[in-house]
Amino acid sequence: MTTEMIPARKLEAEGGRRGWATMYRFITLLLFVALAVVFVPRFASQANLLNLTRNIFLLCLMGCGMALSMLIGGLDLSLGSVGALSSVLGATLIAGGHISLGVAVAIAVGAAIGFLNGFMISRFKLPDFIMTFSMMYIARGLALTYTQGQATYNLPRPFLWIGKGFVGPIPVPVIISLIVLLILFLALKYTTFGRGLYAVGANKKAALYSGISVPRKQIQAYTISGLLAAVVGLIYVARLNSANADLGQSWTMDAIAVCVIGGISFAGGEGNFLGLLMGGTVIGIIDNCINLLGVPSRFQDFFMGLVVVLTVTADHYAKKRQ
Amino acid sequence: MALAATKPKRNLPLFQTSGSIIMLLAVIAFFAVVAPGFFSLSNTTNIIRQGSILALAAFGQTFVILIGGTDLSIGAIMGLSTSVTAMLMLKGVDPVFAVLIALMIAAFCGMLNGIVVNVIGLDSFVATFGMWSMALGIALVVTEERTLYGFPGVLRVLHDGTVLGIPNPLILVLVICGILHFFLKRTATGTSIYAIGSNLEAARLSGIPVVLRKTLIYTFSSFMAGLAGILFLARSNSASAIDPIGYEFDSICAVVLGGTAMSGGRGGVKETLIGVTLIATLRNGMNVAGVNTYLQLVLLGVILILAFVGEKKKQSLYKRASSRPVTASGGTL
Amino acid sequence: MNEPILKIEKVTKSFPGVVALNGIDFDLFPGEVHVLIGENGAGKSTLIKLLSGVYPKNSGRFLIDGKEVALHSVHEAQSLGITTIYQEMNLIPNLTIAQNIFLGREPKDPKFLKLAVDRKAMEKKSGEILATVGLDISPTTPVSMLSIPQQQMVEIAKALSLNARIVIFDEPTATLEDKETQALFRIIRMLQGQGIGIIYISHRLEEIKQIGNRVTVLRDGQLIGTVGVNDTSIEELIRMMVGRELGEQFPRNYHEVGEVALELEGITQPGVLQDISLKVHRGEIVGMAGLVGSGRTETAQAIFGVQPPRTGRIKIFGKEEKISSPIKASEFGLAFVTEDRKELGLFQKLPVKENIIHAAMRNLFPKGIINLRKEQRVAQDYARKLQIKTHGLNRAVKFLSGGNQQKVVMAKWMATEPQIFILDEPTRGIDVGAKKEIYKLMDSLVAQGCSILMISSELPEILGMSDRIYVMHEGRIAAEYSRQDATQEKILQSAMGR
Repeated sequence: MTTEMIPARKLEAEGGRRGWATMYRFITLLLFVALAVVFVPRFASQANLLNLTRNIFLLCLMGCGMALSMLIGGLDLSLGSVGALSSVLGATLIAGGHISLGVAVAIAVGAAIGFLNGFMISRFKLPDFIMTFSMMYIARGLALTYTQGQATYNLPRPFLWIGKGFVGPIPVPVIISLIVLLILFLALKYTTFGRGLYAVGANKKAALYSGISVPRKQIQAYTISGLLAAVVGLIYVARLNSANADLGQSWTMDAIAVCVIGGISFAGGEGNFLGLLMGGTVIGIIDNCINLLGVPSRFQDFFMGLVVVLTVTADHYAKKRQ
Repeated sequence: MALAATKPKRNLPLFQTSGSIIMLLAVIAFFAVVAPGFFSLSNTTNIIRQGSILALAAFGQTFVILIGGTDLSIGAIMGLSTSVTAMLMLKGVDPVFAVLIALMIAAFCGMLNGIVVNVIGLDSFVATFGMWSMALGIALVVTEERTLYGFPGVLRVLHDGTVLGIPNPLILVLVICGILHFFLKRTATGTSIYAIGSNLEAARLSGIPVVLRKTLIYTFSSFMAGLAGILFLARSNSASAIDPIGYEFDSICAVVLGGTAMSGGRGGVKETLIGVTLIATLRNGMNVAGVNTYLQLVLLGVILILAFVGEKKKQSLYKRASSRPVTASGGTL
Repeated sequence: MNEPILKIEKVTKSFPGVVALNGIDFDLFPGEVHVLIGENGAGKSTLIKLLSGVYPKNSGRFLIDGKEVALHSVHEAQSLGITTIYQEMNLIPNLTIAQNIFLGREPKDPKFLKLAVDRKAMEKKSGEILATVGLDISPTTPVSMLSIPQQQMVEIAKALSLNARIVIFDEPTATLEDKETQALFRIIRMLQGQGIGIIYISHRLEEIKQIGNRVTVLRDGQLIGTVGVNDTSIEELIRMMVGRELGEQFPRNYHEVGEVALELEGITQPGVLQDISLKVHRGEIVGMAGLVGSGRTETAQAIFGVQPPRTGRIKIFGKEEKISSPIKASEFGLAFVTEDRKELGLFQKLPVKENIIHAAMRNLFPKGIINLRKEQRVAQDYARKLQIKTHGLNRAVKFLSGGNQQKVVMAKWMATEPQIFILDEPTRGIDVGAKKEIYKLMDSLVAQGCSILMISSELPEILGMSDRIYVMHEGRIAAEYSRQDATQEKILQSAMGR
């Protein structure tokens, strides 16, 4: 069965349509901003914009880990719980004065759990969501067991800098997030690691036949995801100056929303970190507006869920028409 | 002309169900020894009452899993139905009406799930996860993030009452289980559910309205979650949107450990009942033995993973055992 | 019994770029077994799918009992009495035989207000039908406990209960032992006795004499002829199946071959491959012929480490190696261009240039960092060498035509600079021009000292391009021919196990 060469006209339209999709997202973004400036009180105030920027980048950071697992065609539902567990463990050490050690332990724990996720998924061919779903409860349970509902307060000032500090006019969390985004962006575009990730997501079988180690990529993706969850956890703890095991309940949904709006598909192999940035911005603005308008914060959950389902549906139909 | 012939799936004795019964007995024995007060009438009644809530939720989940999907929204729908009922009763609505409205809302959410999964084509995990978020959000709005008290206690009888010494929840569960079992095993629609879960194409070719039935199943699952929420309300006599969260997890555990395969097409509510008993007993035993509530989550998570690994191993062992030697019939005239 | 149950008049079916069936005439009388034979790709399955309502035809007429029908859907075909029994059974394993037979049409029990299924009635009726087909098993047995031949009988029983008038069998005996085949034939004769018309597809020519009344031969989508089974011989039938002009000139320059590059000794994969031994020399193209399912792709998968064999040895340039994964295979200088390029060979979403460098990534960029300029250069290099027509190397590969996609797959593997190529149906679904280009490419590769093991179902291609030819049959190497000795008839005969 031969398929004829797609006529040039159609190709032009295809390329145009893809470009249009990005344009479309960007326009939606601008629309959001415009609406917000006009209708939401205090949106354009300096204090709020600062807050907004910090949140956007934190959302992007959350999205990074989720993006990696989505790019290989999976899903990391344990993000929030891992963030909670790793940061409460680290916080104990930090509170006792051992800042670097605490940070190192937190990151190590996050990476280790991520590794476990990736290992179980690749070795036993467990469906991604089942494994990370169970891990979500396991990690949360461990965190709660460890803290017994108690929070750790009064962390040393040098540590708090991570969440509250500034470098020049820029909040530290933004810098951390930017660095991570940059590294991942470069890695995805310019390294064999990144290409391998896209390949596994685009077509697992073809990746296998092309000599890519699918298990390896899965382990790598989930380990980094866990690691980043720990980083997000630490930043939050530093911002709030308290570490408790309830942290991160909404992170998973937020991260998924950021990714989905940013053009990262559940199917895998699609999307990039530039889109992620856009996604983070949109979600950040929505969150911010919800707060400023005095809507109960838990409406965010509803919105996130709605946004995800709507966006994925729209994408699904857009693809069908191609 | 496939050589390695599509081998019939040899009917392994429902290993998991008999395995679960053994596990159940083991668990009971273990806790009877380890934890004083476990093996008592009052505790057993407690297990029954507590487990009934899970049973209702798990029955709905069973149907979804039978067709190869998963319903992650159950806990949130439970919270939603609890919240809505309580809120309406506080506003003076007749409890019966309040319950009916809550159930309708729950069913509606389920229908949305069904449409998104079957008509639009989203993965069931993703779609129900999204619904989880949305239902939770609405429930929190309804309760204004507080716990609601002080509504008429009429519904409590559902949970606390007894008929001839048998706790009401148990009667409810057994009756519903009986009806659902009959439905699954003895009606044409029930048979079609197994067909859909095993071989979608064959089902469709037999004239079964696949999309419609699958959507109805999701509707049903959320309806049952709504019902479970009502029972939950009756038990706790207070309504909080977040308390029932976690039931989706327990319900999946109960269904899978009971012997219904996640791949679909195999299992039923009888098996789920056993799974529910197992989980409820496990939870209760851990409570009585003083195991941290939080640690229980950990253990259940581990158990779920092990159950999955076990099922995968069983499948691969089975595939290897059934490879047929190359047919020796040469082409002789 | 003079009017045909089914008449097919000048039916044509095309897919983009290829004509699968060209003006086919066919008829079927009640009580007749009309056998349909032809090579892979001759059009048999397409015809079946048209009759079953899976695909719509492009032109021509279908007539049942003299009345024209459209056959727009599977449902319509079924309601007209056409049932197809495929190799992959369409049964529900966890349900009983009775439930399977009556799926979707269960009789209702008046005692339970018609809510429940009337099991007794269902089982009774099923029992009766099962007796007719001679299956002596309780109707309450779950289908999962049945063997393949028994499942087949259940499918036949189901067809009977649907009042089938035309039953199509698609390679029913492919996985049956002799005894089971005879049992099936008894049932078919019983069906004949009931006036049911049977269309029977098979590669087992000996069976045709046993069970068939007439035989129709298809080749390349054309009707070659319809003869009475007793008016012909197997040799004649084979000649009809392959008798085409080998008009195409294949661009091959033959020369001396070198050392043994790839050698297989006693490769066995229980249930799939039996004692496969073969050799491929430097500078040689070795063709692998055989029917679908004879084990050629599985052999390739064994060599390439996708499914490492249970027993046997693989030697690369004389040295025995353990190839445990495709990564290792690539390291040893192997390349595998798979049969299904869309699924296994390419990343459809990704751009052409990324696809080209994919397998060679680690060699080109040992430090892991991709130099975009080098990527562009290498990709352009191969695109030029292979004359890949694309509107830009950045376009996603899915927009390319079949021929160009195949070239991308070839380029991908050539970029790893392998010594030994395994090509599985390299020119399937590609237009003539692109085919020529791929042949030229193959020729130049072996001229440079590479080796090629080419799996193909196109006999002209095998004969035109190979130095030597192995023919596989049911998991074994049935024959080996040199270029001079081979003919289409000989290859097909060996492929059928004669």
